[in-house]
Amino acid sequence: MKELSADRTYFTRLVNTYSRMLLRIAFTYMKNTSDSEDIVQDVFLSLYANPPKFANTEHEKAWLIRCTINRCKNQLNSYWFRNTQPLDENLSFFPEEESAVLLAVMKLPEKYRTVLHLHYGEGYSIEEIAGILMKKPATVGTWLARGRAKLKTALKGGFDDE
Amino acid sequence: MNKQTYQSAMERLPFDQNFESSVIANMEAGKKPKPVSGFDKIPGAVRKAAEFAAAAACLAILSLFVFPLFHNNSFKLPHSSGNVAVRVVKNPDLDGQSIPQPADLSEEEQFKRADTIFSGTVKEIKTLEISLGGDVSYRSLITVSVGNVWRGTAHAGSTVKILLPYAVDESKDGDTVLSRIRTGMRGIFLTENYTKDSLDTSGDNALALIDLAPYGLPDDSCAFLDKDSGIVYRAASFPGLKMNPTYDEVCGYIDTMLSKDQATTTEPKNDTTAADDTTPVVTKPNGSSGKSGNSSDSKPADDSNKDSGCDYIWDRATRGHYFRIAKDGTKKIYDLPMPWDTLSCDHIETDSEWIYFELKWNTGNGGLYRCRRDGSEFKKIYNGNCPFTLNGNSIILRDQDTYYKMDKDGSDLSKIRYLMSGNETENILTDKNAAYVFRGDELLKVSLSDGSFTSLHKFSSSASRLTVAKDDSSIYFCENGSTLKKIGINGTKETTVAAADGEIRDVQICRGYAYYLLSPENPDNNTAETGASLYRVPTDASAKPKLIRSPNAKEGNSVAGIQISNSHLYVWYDDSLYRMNLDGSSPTKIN
Repeated sequence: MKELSADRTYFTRLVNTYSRMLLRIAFTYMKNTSDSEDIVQDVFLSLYANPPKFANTEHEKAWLIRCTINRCKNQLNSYWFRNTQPLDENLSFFPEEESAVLLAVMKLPEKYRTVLHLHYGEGYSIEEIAGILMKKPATVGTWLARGRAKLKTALKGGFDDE
Repeated sequence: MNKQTYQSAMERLPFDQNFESSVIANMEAGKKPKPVSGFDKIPGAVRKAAEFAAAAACLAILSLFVFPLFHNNSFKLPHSSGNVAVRVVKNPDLDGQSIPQPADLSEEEQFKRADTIFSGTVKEIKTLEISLGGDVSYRSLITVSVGNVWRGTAHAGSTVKILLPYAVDESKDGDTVLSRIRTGMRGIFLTENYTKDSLDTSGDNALALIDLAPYGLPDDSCAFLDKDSGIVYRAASFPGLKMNPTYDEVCGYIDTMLSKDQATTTEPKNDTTAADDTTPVVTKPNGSSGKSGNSSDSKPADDSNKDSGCDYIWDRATRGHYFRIAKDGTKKIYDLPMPWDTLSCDHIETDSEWIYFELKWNTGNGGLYRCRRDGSEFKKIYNGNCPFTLNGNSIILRDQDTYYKMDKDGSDLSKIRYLMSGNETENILTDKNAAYVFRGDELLKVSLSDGSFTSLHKFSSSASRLTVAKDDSSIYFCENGSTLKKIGINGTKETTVAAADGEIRDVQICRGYAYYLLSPENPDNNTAETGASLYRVPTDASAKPKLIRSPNAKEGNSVAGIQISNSHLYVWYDDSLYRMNLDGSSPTKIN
């Protein structure tokens, strides 16, 4: 028999735990905070409306990230969003170095940008990213390498592993 | 320190400081997520203004025209209470709907749980929108013309309604048993009899399920569906039923289960512990108990093992299937009791008796499994996300940065060598005595007997070399994703085989050719990755790469994967499988 009651404590924990991470991930797609907030709110609302059963915390996190990415991609596939502007957000109050790095990353093709952020921004391993994005680890590794290579030409030092 | 700068920049982004509390408040207020629709795709502020204007303009129209329609499609709910409404809808957004996991029951318990068991033909499928305390969900309601009744309150020749645990999208086959139910299909149903106490509740709101139907299916283990391709059912729940049964065999099985004593148990034909992904690794010291290795596993041969010349292909379109394709192209489907939420099969190899799978699910975890060629004795033999290859009577696998060797039944695991990170090639390359490993800017040859290694070649750079393959004389690798090179297995003669304007992946070598998928570079940041094509090039680079399959309107948007046997090339276009000659000619659709 389908269970419809919601555990509010559980959902509150999810929101408090994952919101910032999902907002950052959404930002790498939407390139502005306002649309990123809309996306992430919808992710939580859809989770609340139809909660799937998670095997463990890792599955929970992977599901939320993938749902966020899917919603971003759906949003971007309309003509309203067919723009190639690197950034829609006002970064005038950022330190110059930070805005330069952010701009360089946001100029990358989407797949490189995503894996770079998940790896360097959120600390996921290649294997974990492969599981989240449903790609082979070798593919993720290639995207990471190529993203780093492109950043090298844009930034002094790029994102070389230390 | 650009990495740290990037992290600082992301932390500095001016998101709403009250975002979390705002989301929680909206959740508790019952705010619904926006569906992905044309209206939804308008940028933020414009959308908000448009929403307000549209809502105001539509309210009068709804009052005059829509609400009466709603009431005509709605259910009377005499036994329900509180804020409850149910109506028939068409084509709702089912994205992300919750699908209940099958209960962990033995096959005896499955039959004990069922109040009414009958066969019948599905006459109609409706989708119900259920609003319970403001929460909206969807379930399918099927109408069945009853055939044979084994037990319970149904009557042969009558028409009954059964409530499914979730909604079915008839336009596509999902991963679960009930998602494949269709109008006109014959099936056998293990149903629950609803009473006034059969309630779905949310706070003080209660939906009496008997208001919708007299019978319900709790989960995907409660139906056997008779499709053209065979019986669809959850094999893990019924280990006493032979693999790939006919409809009559299912009926006979049900007769047997309902007539035998409670105390009798049958030895399962499938090891259902495979469904538990917390099963510990089989690591036993030399000579311990357990299965003694595949050559001494005895099993009476049956027709399904007479498979000379057959190819075994993992079904990418559904989880838990593989195909046996005979020489004449005849396809047989084997349904495995897969681990929950299996994502993909990254590698499949066979020997004379067994099929070995590298499986992965969506958290990035995985395992190594095997089954006999007829699908029986399915079992996990290693717990972990690990590329592997068969090597004589052993399996060589790599778990994280360590190479291991084990018997083919998963026993006698021993460590060969630990190698530092930077070694994440998608395949393992071996010959009889050695593994060939890319580490940084080096190619190493590692002895399988004692783990000692020598450096075969030092490359001029630490480029990524993650896509690799091998034949008897050379090792092939894709450098930085776009250049296919090879080097002799003695580490000499590094040459370029093909250079591409795009991303090369899934390299396979067969009969003097290298086959690979090529995804074009896409300068448009916002375009999804699609449109991979299949190329082949002579391994001696005596000719340029030749395009042999590309996306097309008939076959599919992208070549999603390939598998090569000695005589045939199997190509996945999206979720459709084609078999063709090794030069890409004469494609025949398999699935």
